[in-house]
Amino acid sequence: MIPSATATRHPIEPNLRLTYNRMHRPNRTTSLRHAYFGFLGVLLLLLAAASTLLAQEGFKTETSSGVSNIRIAVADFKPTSADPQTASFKQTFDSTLFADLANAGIFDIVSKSLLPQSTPGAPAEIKIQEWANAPTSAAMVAFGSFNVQGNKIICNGFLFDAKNLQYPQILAKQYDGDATDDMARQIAHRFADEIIFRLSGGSQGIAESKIFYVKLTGADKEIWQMDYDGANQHAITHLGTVSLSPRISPDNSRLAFSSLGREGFQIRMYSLVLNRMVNFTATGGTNLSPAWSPNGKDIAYSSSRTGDPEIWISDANGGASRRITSFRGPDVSPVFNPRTGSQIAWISGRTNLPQLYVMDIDGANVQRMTDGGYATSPSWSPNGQFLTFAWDRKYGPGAPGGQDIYVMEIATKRWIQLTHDGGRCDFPSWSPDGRHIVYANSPDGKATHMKIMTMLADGTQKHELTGAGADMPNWSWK
Amino acid sequence: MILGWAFLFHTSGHNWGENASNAGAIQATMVSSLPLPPTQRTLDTGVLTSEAPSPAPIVTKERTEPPPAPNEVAIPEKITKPIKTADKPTPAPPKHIQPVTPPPTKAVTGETAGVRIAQSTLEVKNGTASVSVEDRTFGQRFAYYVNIVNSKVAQNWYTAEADPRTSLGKSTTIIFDINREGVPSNARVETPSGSPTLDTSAMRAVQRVDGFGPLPQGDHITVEYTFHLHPQ
Amino acid sequence: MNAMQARIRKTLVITATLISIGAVTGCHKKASGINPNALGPEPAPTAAAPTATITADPLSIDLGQSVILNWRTQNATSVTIDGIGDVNTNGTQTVAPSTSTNFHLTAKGDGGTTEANVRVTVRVPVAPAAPTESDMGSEAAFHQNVQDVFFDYDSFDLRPDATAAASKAAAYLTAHPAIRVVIGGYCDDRGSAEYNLALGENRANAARTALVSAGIPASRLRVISYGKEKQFCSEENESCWQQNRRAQFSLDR
Repeated sequence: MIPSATATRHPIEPNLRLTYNRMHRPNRTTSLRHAYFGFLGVLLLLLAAASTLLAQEGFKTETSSGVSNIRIAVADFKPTSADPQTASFKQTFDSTLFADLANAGIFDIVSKSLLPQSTPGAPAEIKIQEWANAPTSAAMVAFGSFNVQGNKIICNGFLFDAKNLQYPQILAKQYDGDATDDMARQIAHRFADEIIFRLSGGSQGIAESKIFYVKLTGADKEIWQMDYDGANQHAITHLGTVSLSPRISPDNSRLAFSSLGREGFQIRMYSLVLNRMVNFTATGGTNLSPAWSPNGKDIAYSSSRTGDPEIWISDANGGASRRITSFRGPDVSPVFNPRTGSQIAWISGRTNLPQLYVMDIDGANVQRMTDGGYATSPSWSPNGQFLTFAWDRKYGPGAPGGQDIYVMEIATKRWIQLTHDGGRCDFPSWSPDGRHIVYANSPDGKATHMKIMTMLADGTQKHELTGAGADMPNWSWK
Repeated sequence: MILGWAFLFHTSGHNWGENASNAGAIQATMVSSLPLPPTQRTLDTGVLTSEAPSPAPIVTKERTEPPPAPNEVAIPEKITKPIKTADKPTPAPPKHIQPVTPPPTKAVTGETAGVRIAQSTLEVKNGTASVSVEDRTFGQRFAYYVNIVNSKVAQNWYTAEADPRTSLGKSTTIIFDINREGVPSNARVETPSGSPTLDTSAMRAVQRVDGFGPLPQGDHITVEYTFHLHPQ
Repeated sequence: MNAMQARIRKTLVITATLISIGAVTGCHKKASGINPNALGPEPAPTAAAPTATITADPLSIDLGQSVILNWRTQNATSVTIDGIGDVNTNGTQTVAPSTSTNFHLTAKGDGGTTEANVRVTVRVPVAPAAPTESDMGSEAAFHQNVQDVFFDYDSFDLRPDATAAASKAAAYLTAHPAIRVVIGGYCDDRGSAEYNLALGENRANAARTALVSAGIPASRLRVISYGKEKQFCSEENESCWQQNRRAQFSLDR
């Protein structure tokens, strides 16, 4: 208890949600306390100057910034043609646009019941004041017109700043496409991404991104694909065996995965451009959990061709392989730092229970990140700062295990727990905007009851994307 | 013994907040450092501007004039004519205020800087952050962009980096450029606050931002950014 | 006199028997003398013959999974499926057979009876029990002498009981040099799929290393890890989990 020290180190009031225990609190007598006040003062100044703790503190505060969610009102678009197909496609468009903006994580979306009665279809028709006033109280308004002419959809979308009465227009976009339900959805996704790009200061929206996952098909497991919101689920592979760990390439052209053949599990490659399997050099041993480098040229994976599963890196066709770990025990589930491409995080059982580690891509600077429990399935955030992974901190013989999704800040190893008491959770994967995490969850722990869920990266807004029988999701890079 | 205890203290000091090995002892909330906005409200009006009453008549008069068509970049001059009677766009942040009670003395943070044009002001945890753009037409037309610039820099300002003993109650102003792609550069202190740590913390806030998104118009803008650290 | 009488009696009995037989057969002949062609023509059928099809989806499963049977019949009044009983004329049913089963459907109608079959294969991840002879010797002898080794949780170290089993296995394999072995590594169903595949690999390799150290050439031993993808039992208790934590030896044909 050194008041001056505390003041320097904690200039922020204690409404921070930082709870900590001082584990080592030496007993001191008063005289000695005085005696080394001065000494510690010196020490602390040195610490303050040299350490990054102060920065981390400020970094951790919840309310250090004044940024709030932007309050956006999403109007139902105005139908401007009498074509009978308009109504149902417009319904799909409206609900998809609303959901995309609500899911973005940066908006406070005005609920439909608070919107004004009017349906403006063009800039001349909108009375901005009624959107800016209570109860709507919107800062931004998305509106426009939607119609079907012949067999084409034509959609005009506008984004207005309700607080800039002189110059409200931020976006004016026109989209067209074939008159299908899927196209209505895609147009809504594209417009939503435009809005998100504009209002988030340049970060890419996720409305057009995809999730690749494992679908349980009776005795086998195949690789499937769906939109980021769970729509459009369909099969990619039809191999009739057990296929796991799908990982899409950064440019969305190829899908790497691990599949059980006669000789055991091999890394296989599927081309989404050619719609067929393409070559990946087969090798001995059990080959698992492929991961792409951010430049799309290298693949890291676990291979036991030397008898012990180690992390290897090869090019995208399986050639030029080199081994980068040599620890006794299983080494598996590598993932590259997507921002720099110069580090890999992976799971190693070298100390018995699997733990999370980070190293450089040449194998140097190995750093252990977790301190115990059973850690598995890491995914690295797009900004390079965080790892998300599944962790059972109380793993033990006979224990049913409470495996949950955690996020850890790499620089400090501090972590937060995102799922609680929901059953077994595994295989978290970051969204390309770094705001969402998709993961697999089985409420009763049984493998056949696994389903895929999504949430914001702070653990809020969880909802299901699939029914039972889906596992191991992987979010595309864009 | 002193050394021993100092060593112990030193050790426990380092253990604080560093490693999750003090199992469960430290669970920081990292909400703000994830790219999710925390839930504090934006201060809707500037520090010294009034609450928003709603003089509807003025507003409707305004609405008849400006066609907010996308191509009218050159026209703003014309449009400001009718508005000048109702709203002096210069000091007041137009996007925050519908009513346009004019007083030009509304220099938002109380400073006497020159022409403070379209400006965005946010209440930050320990202070106020305000941003203004030197190009007045840009600031008027793209007030939302100015707000994004302010939000992103404010989000990256770590108030703890400023030594409170020397910085409380002080303001510092940083100037920086933003290029067409929205990347900031050339950050420099325009008005030192007298507290080097406050100046440095403000500079670092700007430097931490990778980008604000492409400029809606033009190749380049220059932005003035002021931090005011509240007395505790 | 008596002998004479006895003989006469015998002859009488025999004669009587012969006559009665003749009478009987004669009666038979008389009775079967009806010419079937003299009967009226067979009545023409008053209803169409029933038809039936039965399918199963999927056709092959792992032990513990279920199958949906789907059948359609026409012109049938009563339909039964062996092992299920009476069913509707059209319908579906979910079944979970524990062994490969032939589902036999019988549809009876006014026009006759028809049958349909579908065979569902159930894969059970243990070596086949039926012994088959080959130059590798019998399966039964193999499994008696080369027994699976079991592991502690999250471990791929051989326990003392496992080491003993490995020595016994090595002795048998040395004595039968034609045998090639595939070693499967398995894990219990807790924990993560990827890590368990790697751990299964380590388990199988540990068993392999033990055999190699005992003098078996590595070329006779092949390793595949199944992780937790194939389970030997599905209860959530320690005894089932222990059953699943193993390296399994099989003849590599």
